[in-house]
Amino acid sequence: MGKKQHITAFYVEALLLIAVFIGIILTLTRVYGAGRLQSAGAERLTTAVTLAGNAAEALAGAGSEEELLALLDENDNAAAEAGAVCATYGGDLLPAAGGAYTVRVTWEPEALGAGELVKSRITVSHAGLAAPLYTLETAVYRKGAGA
Amino acid sequence: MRQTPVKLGPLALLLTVITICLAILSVLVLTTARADLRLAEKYARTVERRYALERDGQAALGRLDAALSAGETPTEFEPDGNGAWRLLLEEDGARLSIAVKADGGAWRVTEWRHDREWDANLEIEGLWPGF
Repeated sequence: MGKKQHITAFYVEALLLIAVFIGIILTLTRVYGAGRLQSAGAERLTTAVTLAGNAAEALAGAGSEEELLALLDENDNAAAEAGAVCATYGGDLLPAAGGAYTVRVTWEPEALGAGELVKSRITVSHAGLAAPLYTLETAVYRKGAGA
Repeated sequence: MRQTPVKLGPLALLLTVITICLAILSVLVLTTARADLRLAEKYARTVERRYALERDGQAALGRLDAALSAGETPTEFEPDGNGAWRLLLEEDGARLSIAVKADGGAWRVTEWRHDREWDANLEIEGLWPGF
């Protein structure tokens, strides 16, 4: 084999090695990316569930829609809507006006016996996502209310 | 001066080792992230069940209040013999025990407890059972 042929074979071999290595690195980058996405999804869902649980407890402790607003409002992060209260939170679960997470708590009173059953749907959504992250349905019975 | 020829063998070996290490790390990253997501979904379902029971319990309280206010006997709740009315709600292994003490038309909740069934012989899939 001549010297020229030997050098050509070396270059072809080196190119092949580099191409295969780049291909593997690209595949692994996609795997890392998928892992990162799933991890971020898990973090968002856990945050949404915690925020929904906190809102459900606030609902259980509120005597009226105004009281619910007062319980959720901190640093001007909550506002009343028609039959609902909306509050925003940051990723650290703290109340923050204009935060990434929005918690919407509906207030649907229904006369029952000597009081009223307030049904509520708590929806947590994220600013970057179209679909809600988590939805929770709960209710609280208020003895003597609405009678 | 004599030139030493460059050989790709050692370089290929080094790249192979690096690739194997990166592949192992990427598999670990993916499995850990998936496990995190599954755990978060399980937590979400647990909270959903808990508040579904809470909703059913609160509605049952309303019906009890209605029955007692009308001077009727509550049908869902059962007397426990100590002057209290009891109700046990269950959903997918999660339970809510409610006890209410009634005196004429007035009543108060004396127990509101969430728990779940415990199976001591539960085998965890993939876990070594030991000797």
